[in-house]
Amino acid sequence: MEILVCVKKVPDTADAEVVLKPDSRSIREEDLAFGINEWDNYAVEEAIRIKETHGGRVTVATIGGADSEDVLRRCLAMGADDAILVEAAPFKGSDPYGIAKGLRGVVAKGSYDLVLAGVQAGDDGFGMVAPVLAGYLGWAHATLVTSISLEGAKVAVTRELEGGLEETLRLALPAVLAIQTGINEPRYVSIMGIRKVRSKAIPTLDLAAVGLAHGEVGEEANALREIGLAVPPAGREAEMIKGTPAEVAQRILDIIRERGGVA
Amino acid sequence: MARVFVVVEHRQGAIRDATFELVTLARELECRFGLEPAAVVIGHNVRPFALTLSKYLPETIVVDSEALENFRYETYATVLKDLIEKETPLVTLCPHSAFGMELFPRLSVETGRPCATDCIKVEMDNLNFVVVRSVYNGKINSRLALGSSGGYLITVRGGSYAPAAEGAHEGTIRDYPPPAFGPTFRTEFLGYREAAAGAIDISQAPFLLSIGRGIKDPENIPKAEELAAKLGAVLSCSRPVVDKKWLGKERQVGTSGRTVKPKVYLAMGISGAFQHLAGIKGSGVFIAVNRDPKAPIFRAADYGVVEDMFKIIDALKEKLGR
Amino acid sequence: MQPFREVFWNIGYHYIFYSLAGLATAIFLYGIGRRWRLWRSGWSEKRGGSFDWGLVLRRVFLNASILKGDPLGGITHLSIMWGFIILFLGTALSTIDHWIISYLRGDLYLAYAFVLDMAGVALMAGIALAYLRRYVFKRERMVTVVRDHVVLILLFFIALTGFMVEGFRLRAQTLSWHEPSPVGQWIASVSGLSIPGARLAHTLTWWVHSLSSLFFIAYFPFSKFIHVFAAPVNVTLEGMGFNPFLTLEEREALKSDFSFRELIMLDACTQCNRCTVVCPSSIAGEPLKPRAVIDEAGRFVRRKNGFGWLPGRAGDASLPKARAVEGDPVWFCTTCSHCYRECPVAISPMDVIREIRTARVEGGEDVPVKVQEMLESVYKFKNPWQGAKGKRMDWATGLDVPLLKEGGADSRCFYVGCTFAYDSRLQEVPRAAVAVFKAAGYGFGVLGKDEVCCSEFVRGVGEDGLFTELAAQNVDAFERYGVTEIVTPCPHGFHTFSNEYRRMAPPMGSRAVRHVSQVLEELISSGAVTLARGGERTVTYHDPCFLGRRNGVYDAPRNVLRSIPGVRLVEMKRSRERSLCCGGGGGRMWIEAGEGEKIAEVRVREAAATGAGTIVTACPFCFTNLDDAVKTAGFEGKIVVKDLTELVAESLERRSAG
Repeated sequence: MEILVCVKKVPDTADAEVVLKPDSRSIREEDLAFGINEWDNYAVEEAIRIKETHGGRVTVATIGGADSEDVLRRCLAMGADDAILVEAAPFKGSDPYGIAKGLRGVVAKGSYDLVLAGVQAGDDGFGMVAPVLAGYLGWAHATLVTSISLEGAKVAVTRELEGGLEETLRLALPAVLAIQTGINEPRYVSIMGIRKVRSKAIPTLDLAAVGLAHGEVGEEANALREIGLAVPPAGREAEMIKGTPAEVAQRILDIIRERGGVA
Repeated sequence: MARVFVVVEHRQGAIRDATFELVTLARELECRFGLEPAAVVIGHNVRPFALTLSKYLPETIVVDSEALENFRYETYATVLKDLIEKETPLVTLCPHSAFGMELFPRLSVETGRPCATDCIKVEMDNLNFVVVRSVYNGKINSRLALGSSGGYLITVRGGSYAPAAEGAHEGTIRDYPPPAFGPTFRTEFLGYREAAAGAIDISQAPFLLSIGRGIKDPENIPKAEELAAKLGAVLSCSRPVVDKKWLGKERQVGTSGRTVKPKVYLAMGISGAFQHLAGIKGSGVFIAVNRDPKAPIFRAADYGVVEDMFKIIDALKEKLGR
Repeated sequence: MQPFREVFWNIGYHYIFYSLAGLATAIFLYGIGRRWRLWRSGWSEKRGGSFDWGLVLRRVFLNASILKGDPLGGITHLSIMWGFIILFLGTALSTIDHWIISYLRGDLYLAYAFVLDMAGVALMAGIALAYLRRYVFKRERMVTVVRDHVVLILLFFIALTGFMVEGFRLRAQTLSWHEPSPVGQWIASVSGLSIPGARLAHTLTWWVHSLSSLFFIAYFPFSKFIHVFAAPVNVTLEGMGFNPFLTLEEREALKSDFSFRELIMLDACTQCNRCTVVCPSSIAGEPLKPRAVIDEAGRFVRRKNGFGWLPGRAGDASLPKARAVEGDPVWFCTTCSHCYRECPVAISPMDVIREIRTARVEGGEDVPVKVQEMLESVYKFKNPWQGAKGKRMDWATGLDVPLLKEGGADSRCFYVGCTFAYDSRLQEVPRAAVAVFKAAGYGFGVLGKDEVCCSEFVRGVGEDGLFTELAAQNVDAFERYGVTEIVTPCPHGFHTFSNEYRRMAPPMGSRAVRHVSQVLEELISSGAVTLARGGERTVTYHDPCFLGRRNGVYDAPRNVLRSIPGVRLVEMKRSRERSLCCGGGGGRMWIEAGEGEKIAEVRVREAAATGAGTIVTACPFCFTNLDDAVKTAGFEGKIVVKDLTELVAESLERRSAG
């Protein structure tokens, strides 16, 4: 079982303050912590578990700068066998189509049975790369995957739907699966573990190596062009309750009682 | 005449609510930019759905075939590709749901038409589309222009538009013959199942105390449970708490969890990710407690408190008596 | 004729004896050799400091560390130890006398005979006392297993038969002198045997005594007796100041699980259980028992090494270090070091536990999920609280806090620490510190967003790699800002800057590291700040483990408290070196307690028992744990937790207000 996992390095913006640069085309990165996209981490863990159960090899790939190598090494330390870095420069500003084209080139260089990626990236949240990649490859795909079970030349998956409902599908391999969070519990990777793999070579592929020509990807080639970023309008804001915790608690209870809450 | 198609999403015998939000968007595009709206219903024995939609939009196109009984991107994409290439709508809309996420990006490649996903606002600039999307954990909005094309695919975030009301006149219904499907399929639908069966049904609870990542430690959950008991509330949560397996999936409020319509929703330590908020409906009062003054939840709540949630938990317990 | 002892009197078949003796000795040497090889398989620690002769002499020869806190135990062991040593020397001297040079004659011999008898009495009395202690006085902490009986009964038997041999000999011999061996003489007189009967009895008991002694010799290296060598060696290594700190490169190059010294520790343990009795985790009823850790780890090491009677028994090199001690107990250690302090022979179960944790963390298995998340947070956000880097200076909002400048020189860094920086309640503490510093005109600067986690507890849970990375970042910041002195309110930072950082980065050695309590003491005593009388309050001070027991700072915080007018300080029973850990160190802030009472709740009860209305702490973890425990143990409203710096700042404020 040859598995490719596509990962992305993203900033963690959950609790951080996100500040726009003056040109409103990008955000300030200095105070942000970067790391592997949360969905992709689940995908890597899942791939490694499949390998541990069924045998095979796991390769992780990302389109990124040299600073993305740490993400790849972490995946190697988790148990991936190989890592591939695709030079980011030509892909600067690429939309999901551009990214998927690059990854298609990576897939073409190997003979993979399964390609995994996270459902979406924590920064832009398009959720497009996996199904678009599948389309370019002509492979079957499934998104929002919450469980995988190999069945010879096929794979059975469950997909997460709304309202606590799931559906099960069977796909013919090779296939692209977009992995949902919560599918497993990713293992911890120690620094010593990362050190152990520090001498592993990570080849860097340039544009030609992934079968693309200049101008096929990058901002100019985008189908989705970003015009600008803005802070969401204030709109309807909550009425803020101020005071000591005791005062706040009292107000909350009053509101609740007004609405027929507490006995 | 440029047209806008609304793909009707349905499952297990019911049309999903998001469809009617798309109707609102379609009508808006009609109003502002002159696009003629039509609904597209794909499935098997879906005539009743077409009848419903005909009360909302002037035209409904039905593609009915046994092969389309259960949704698979493979069959639905084949149908839509055929339909879009023959009917050439300028834009086709779909909810950004499990259905839309599975179908539209793939369809985009099959049809060669650009797709923008999870849009919260859709507008036009001449014949080009401009959409707004929410990025960076809901803290920033991004405006995208879709490259010029003969047709566009757009998935829309639930709750971005209000659900439409029925129209004054009944529209027409047209049957569209499904295309021939290839001899072999790569996908097979096996069935549905409920993710978690628990004793608790939060969707019926009138008062919910909901906790999120801010609870930090499963050790703290008993504190929340105690408070819920004192308040007479049912304990619910957001996705991260379930991902960590601190509470069961049956307590998750959100698109992939349960939809709730409580009279009171008290959210603590929840940042307000869209998928969570989408699970809260109805006209109850929404109170949010979060340490981060910039948490998106304060844009959705009626009342907000910027404070350490544990202090508020303790203060509430104090007031309610030990 | 001069008084002397005829060796082998009335004994034939000497060759049998010598053959058996040779065999026993060979087995003994073989056993010692194997133990030595096992110990030597451990990696070498580095020496620090000078040789503490006093420690070694006091502990080894005077059993001072056993006597401390347990006079009965101390006397018991002294009797057994010295009784045994003297009897052993006696046999050695006799052998030399018989084979090499006759000198045990006359008065010397008489003195020798008397001393040996007394030694025998001491040995047997010590053993009797040991049993009394174990079964009659029922020392609560004692744990008894079969091998404990074996060693005591064997020694007793050897001593008893020894006296019997002597007694029968004296009965059967007609000597021209009175041999001053009181016990032997007594046995001779009450034996009721005729001379031929006594001779027979003598022969029999002589062989019994010899065979049991030879058995003892052969058994020695494979039994609890090995502590006779291992314990003094361990105490000596302790006196020589060895410590197990390794750089990452050294750790990567390791070929064995434990250090030479740790392996000796495992054999120096006699399972006395003093460590468990003071371990805060054990006190709270959690599954950790340091004594059991040493026991289990020792058996693991011997299994892996193939140590045993039979030569050529293969060890099992595949046994993983992560499972040297099975299950959860290793995660309950708070690294308070009380076990190490309490152990009479300087064993550190804490270090052994930490070593096992390094294996668990490296392998990524059997690591508590919250610890993983904490480590991932430190890796990603440079602090354990998932606090955004941009918010690290939020505690200083509204204050004018100077930032250190690049390329500065001779600057004093106020290192805030992650918990004080991000916890909304504890942010009051660095604010208070700044207020005091300003009032005193005490110059300082902060690293600002460049400050990263000191990572003391990252190392405590065994993530040496991550510790090294973050420490390097802090040290780099100290270099760039020209920091020559570091002042911190967090004892964990204080500890690791003073210890591991210095071992890792030599330039740290030239930087003074102080805890804020030491600075407050100085500022108050020099008059740089004056404190006004506030309300009357009775307080008790809780010694943080990382300030007190691990680094010896007990008085500075107390002096500060005594200088605050209106504050009356009372001490808890367990204070200073005997302070009970709050349960926050060693990564415990992220490890769920077991069922039952929390460590911190035990401590809060103890504090309340002093009658104090306030518990004063000087550590963010202590504060959090005790504050939570006040609520969960039902003391809310009766006792309150305050930080030392806050109290001082409050006394300042009242002055400017009034």
